[in-house]
Amino acid sequence: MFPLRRLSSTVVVLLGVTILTYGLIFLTPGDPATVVLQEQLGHQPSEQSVRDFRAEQGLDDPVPVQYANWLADVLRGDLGDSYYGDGPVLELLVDHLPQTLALAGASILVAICVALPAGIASACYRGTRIDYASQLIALLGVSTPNFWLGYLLIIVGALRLGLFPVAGAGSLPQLVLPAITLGTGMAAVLTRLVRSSLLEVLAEPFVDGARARGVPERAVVVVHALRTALLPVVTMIGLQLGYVLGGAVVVEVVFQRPGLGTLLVDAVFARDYPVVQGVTLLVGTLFVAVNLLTDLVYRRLDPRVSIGGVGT
Amino acid sequence: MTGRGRGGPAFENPADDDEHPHPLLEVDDLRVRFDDGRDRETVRAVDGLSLALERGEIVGLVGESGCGKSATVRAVAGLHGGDARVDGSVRFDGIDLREVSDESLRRLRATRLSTVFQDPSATLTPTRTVEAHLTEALRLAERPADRSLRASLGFGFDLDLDPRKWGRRDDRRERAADLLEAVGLDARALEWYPHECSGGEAQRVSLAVALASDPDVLLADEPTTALDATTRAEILALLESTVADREMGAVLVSHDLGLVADVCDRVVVAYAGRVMEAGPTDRVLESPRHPYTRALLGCRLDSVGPGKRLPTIEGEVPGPTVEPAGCPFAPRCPRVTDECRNAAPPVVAVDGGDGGECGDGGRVRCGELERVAASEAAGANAVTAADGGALEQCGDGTNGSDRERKGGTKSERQSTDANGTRTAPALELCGVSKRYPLEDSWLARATGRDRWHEAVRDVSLSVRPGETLGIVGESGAGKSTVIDLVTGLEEPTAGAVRIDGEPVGRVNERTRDQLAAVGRLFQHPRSSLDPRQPVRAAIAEPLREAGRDREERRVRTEELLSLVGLEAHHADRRPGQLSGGECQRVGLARAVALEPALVVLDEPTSALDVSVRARVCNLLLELQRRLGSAFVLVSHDLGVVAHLADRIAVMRGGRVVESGPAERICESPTHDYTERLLAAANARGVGTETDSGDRPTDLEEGSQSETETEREHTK
Amino acid sequence: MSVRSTLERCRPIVEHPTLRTLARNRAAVAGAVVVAGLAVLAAVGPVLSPYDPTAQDLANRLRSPSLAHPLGTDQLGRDVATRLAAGARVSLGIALLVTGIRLALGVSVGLVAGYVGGWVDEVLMRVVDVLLAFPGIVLALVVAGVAGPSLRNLVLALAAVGWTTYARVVRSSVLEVRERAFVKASRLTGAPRRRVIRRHVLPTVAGPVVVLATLDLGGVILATAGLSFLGLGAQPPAPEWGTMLATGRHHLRDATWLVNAPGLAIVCAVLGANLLGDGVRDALDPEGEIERKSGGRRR
Repeated sequence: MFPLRRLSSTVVVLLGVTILTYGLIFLTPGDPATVVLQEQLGHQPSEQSVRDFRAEQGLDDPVPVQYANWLADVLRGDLGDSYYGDGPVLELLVDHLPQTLALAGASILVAICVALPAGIASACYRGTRIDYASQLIALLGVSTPNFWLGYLLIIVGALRLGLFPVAGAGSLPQLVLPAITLGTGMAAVLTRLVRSSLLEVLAEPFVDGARARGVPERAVVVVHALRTALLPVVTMIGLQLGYVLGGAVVVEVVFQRPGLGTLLVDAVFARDYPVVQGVTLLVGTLFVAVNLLTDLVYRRLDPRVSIGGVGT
Repeated sequence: MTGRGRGGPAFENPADDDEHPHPLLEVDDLRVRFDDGRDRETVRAVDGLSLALERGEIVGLVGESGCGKSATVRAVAGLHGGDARVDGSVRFDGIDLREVSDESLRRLRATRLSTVFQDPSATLTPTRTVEAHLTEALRLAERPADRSLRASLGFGFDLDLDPRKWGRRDDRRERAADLLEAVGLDARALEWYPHECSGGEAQRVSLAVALASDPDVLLADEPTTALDATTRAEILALLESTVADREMGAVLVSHDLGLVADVCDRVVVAYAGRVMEAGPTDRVLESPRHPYTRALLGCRLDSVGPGKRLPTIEGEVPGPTVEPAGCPFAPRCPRVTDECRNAAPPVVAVDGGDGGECGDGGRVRCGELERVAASEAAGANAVTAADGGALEQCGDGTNGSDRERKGGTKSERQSTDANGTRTAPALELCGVSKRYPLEDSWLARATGRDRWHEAVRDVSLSVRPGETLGIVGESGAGKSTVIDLVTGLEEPTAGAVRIDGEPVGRVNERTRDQLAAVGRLFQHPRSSLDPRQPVRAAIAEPLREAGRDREERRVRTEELLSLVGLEAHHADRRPGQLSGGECQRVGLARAVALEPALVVLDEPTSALDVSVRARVCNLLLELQRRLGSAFVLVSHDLGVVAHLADRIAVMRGGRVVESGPAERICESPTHDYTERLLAAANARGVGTETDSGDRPTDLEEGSQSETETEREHTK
Repeated sequence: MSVRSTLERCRPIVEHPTLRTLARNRAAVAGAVVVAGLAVLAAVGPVLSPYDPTAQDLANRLRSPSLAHPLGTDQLGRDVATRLAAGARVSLGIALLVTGIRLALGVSVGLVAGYVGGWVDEVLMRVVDVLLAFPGIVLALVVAGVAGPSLRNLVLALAAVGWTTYARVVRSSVLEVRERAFVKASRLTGAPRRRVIRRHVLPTVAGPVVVLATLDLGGVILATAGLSFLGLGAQPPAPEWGTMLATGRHHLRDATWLVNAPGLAIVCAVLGANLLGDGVRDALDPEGEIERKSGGRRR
């Protein structure tokens, strides 16, 4: 009975996501209405205008009622308007999402293309120079902050060599440097995972079982071991989407791409709460959805858990 | 033929060059070594082992764990890792396998040499179906010409792009189904994944995969060790008939002499990586020559009557890093001489026991054979008389009276029984049931989809003070749950548990006295000890909880150590530094620390070698004699239970299907399930099997039967 | 007390098998050396340096590396090397603080959830699920941003989003240990729950937690620098690596050292911490159990 139970827990988590998103407002020091009006007006707001704003935004209701109203609006697709007149939050999200998705997709592609061969080679030639080199590079990749890597790539790839544009978004060349920046960290994590997972599987008795049946060595690795070894990698790629969305914030700032990340950072500093809530909710929902999808894919791939998760 | 010095081909094929130019498989002076990475010491896994195998023959390779049996199989099949150094020769149908390329070796494994391993479900690829395994094996076994292109490219994918070959794929599927049928499974099993098979089914599948190439030689490495008694018998019968039908040869590796005796034509007894004795099964079992073979046979439960002390082998198998100067068995040998400590013993030919052709009774590597033979002539019973010295045999004098006494009390108890019970039973279960929810979640409860696993159903049992009740049954029968109910880790869904006449609840509801009244020995001795806690603290824990002060604890801990036969210096060791048998003793010391009226023993002998098991059995008898406690002994091993118990209860599917005095159950069972258990354990193999593989815990037992039901649901 | 007797006393610690395994791991030793070196630099660097990390010297703006200024000066003429050393204090201090809070919070929650069970476990784990439904850095960014950019809020935000892994690992270890035979055996002696936890469960859980904490350290350094880079942590005059990099990015064409010096410093610190973390994991958890329990999540 997997899907029903998994779906029900997903609903619970999504509900929690909305509560958390809504509750974020209350972290702000002082009265949100005063803070927001001050930001908008640039000076101390009058008491009357604060009262009007509170009434207009429903801030005088008890908190659960506020939340319920907000949630009802959200479910109807109304995420509110930006405080700064940039229009409905939903439109802002729809405008900015594609840039971020393009970046995320491209960097995952970069990561997989690097990590799979590197990880497999590392595991198959364990203890050789190939292995050490790939492990060292992976370690460097894990340890390098992507904002610095981004500037390094700009200095070398854009300013010195002039191969790619420095910043901006829209064209394919503009996607190359950001995708490499964001893909590197992920590739490093995946390489290490592919290596350790494959090594673990190669030590399992069924691998020797396959050899004992006379299966050629390459088929032992590719047909028997790799499929099992890639199962945790699938999960990791799903989880990495979270890392990609997080990393995208920084990378978008570095490359000045108009995506969800720059939208969020600008909104946070401008205290544009509806936009902050909108982006947070979208990122949370996306992440939950991807995790659900990953789980479903995993269950399709691994016969051991497809039977309702019993017997593990 | 006389013995040769060490290093020479000592155990070669008996019939050298007459009818058969060369045997099917011939292993000569095989040595496998590898470096222990941490301590830079050389591990001698196999140290000069030889054996020969003919067509249509099953040869048993026997020895305790750590004797190099598995390493031999791996080296023969060329599956030893890159860090192992292999010397000696392995000739397969005249070809020296040590000389051929890896690729030819692989092709040989694909076509003519198959291997079956101990843990069948672990050796099948978890992400591939049974059909994928079978068709792969069939495809690999096809003539190399058929797939020369792919073979030369080095691909082994199951992708046939050539439409002309599609017909062959259907054909393979059909042949796969035939193979399954041959091992007693129906074609539905083609769709299964390895984890969906029970232990027995998985071993049948492994066998089917091994037979797919129609091999000449089958190497079976402990193929039945992880299986239940009845399944074990079926698999062995299957192995025997297959070898006979297909005219192949098989090497059966086992630590169990009795099992080997049932199916093997010849036996090779190995110790510390060397052959100690080899010969026709009947000769080796009926008149064993080597002291080690004798000792091994002596440890078997049927070598003495029930309730009697068993002969044992003192000491442990030497570590594989030690290079013994003389005979490796010398430190444990009852008739050791200075000569065998210092020089390699000669190999001596033995005359055929029953005057068979060639006069060949095999060979023995021992210099003291004359003395062995002499004492054999002097003594009536080979086993009893031959075992003086280190083999603690209580065949004579003083100890005999103990046995008498024990026998006496047993009949006394039975008469008490006839007159009606006088004292409250030490333990009483009245109509006890226990069920677990299969799916424990609010959703399942809300939707009313709750399904239950009935672990124990309406069980009533009673144990009188000082008596031993044995509970037998296969895994999943509910034995472990009964123990949890008795000790209070679980609460019955219905019925009552009474100890000394008082009803008791869960462990945290029990009084100090009630807690002290029950001792429990856990199934896996090592895991029941906290790896971080020294032995002293482990033994003192129950004393501490019972409120004994420091001095009392110290004194009692020392008493307990000597009671279970451990030395004072063991007190400061941690479980990781103890052997399996020593951990078992520590567990026992803990269990009896408070002199409980009732001791519950969960599979006390599983995971132990034959010789260690004999010692544990003796220890249990001794403890009961000294403490006068009632024992509840739970085991899947009917042999051990029959040996130790006064009464036996047979469990199946959570119910007690039969119970009664041990002799009655063993001699005239009324329930046909008991009969089957007995039949499976009987013949010469009775109770000699111990499990070195991990038995499922109670938790896994539950899930195993769930998987069975789930399969019904999904298919 | 003689030196010898002191040494004798330290012996059980020094010869502890885990430490010996760790000492054999060359990469782990290198990591420890790097981290220790940075700590020393953080401690003595600002004291020894002739420059003040915040004093401006507009006459010496954007000087490239020289003997007087081994790593050059920034746009306000401050010595980059001195600021890096001072920044090490902030980065390492925050990393330790955040990891400490995460550890304390996560272990407590995990122990309670695992041992109490029932609805308490249910509620706590749903909280964990919700927190895990966001990429940590995004949530920390929003929390720190809404609460107001400051170092204190940065620490709280990072701690608030990162304790979940500890809680999960501790909880699943507790659940597993609880079913282990030796804990059952201890329960059968009548030992109360509290004592069973203290005697058998906590020591077993300690290993995984130490491993997680060392593995976490590098990630926390990265996150701190990342959020500071975005303008949420240390505010501009303060010498912090992420903040320095953020201000240096305006001089990509003429003063690359302003970006590369703090960048390399971060890489060194994180690399050192990761090497050490991997070493500790290999020594304490050779089977990779912990990573499995934490759901493979490392960032």
